[in-house]
Amino acid sequence: MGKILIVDDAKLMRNIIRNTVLEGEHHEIVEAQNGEEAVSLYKEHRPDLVTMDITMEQCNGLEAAKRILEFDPHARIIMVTAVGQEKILAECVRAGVSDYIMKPFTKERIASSVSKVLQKSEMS
Amino acid sequence: MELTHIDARFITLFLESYQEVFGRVFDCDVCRGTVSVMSSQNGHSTVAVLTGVIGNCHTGMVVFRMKEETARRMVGYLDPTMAAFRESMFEGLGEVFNIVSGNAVQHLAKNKIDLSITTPSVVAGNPLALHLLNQSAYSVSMLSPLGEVGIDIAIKRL
Repeated sequence: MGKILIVDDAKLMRNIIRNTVLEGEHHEIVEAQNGEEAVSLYKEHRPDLVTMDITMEQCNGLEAAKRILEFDPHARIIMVTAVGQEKILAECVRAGVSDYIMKPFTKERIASSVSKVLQKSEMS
Repeated sequence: MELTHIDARFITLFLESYQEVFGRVFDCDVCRGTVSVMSSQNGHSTVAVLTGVIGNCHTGMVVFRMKEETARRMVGYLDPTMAAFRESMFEGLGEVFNIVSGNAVQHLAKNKIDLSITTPSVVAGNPLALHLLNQSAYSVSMLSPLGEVGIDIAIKRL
């Protein structure tokens, strides 16, 4: 069981990710609609994992990920990206994110990434 | 109206992308009908998703038309809770086609056609009549187990 912060400006995407990570698992879920809210909720809840959309108004995913990693260098962040955002994604990886998922993604891909990153988190 | 070389390539790339992304998102096979040219639409659709398209050389609009039950099935496949209420169902539908259009635009960019898309708007009505002023659209139907979606691509060179 872990605490997961899901960040996306689209409710549908937040719901898909939430429903997928909760399938057969008992995680605590916190949701944010933009990067600004994500940074604030991260500091408040200290989640084990963050799934972060890249394209958002009011502080995009890259900026929010950088701010979270500055606050907590051990933060586990999975970027949720679209085709064509490879340059931003490369910057996210350089900043220290743990993994990324490309939209449109399968539920299996989310589940596997979340489980992999959470396992790493437990081991460290 | 005759399809010019660039338009035909554009339409084909867009439709290929739609077919691929739709198939991946909904894990189903999608069949494409033949392309026709129209300037207004008075079919059986009751919901339409409108997306503006802007580029250095092109401008226009892409319209996705469907029956409301098809829209509900699509959103319900991804998230049943959002399909339960009309307002959230429309919000989810806009997001679905935002992903589809976003991928189509990236697919086009790989083929040297640079475009940006606007955030989709969802309109509903019964009957739903769409009129594209001073512009014709290339129209095609996509069939999947979730239902039929009509795509009207009204894009012209600047």
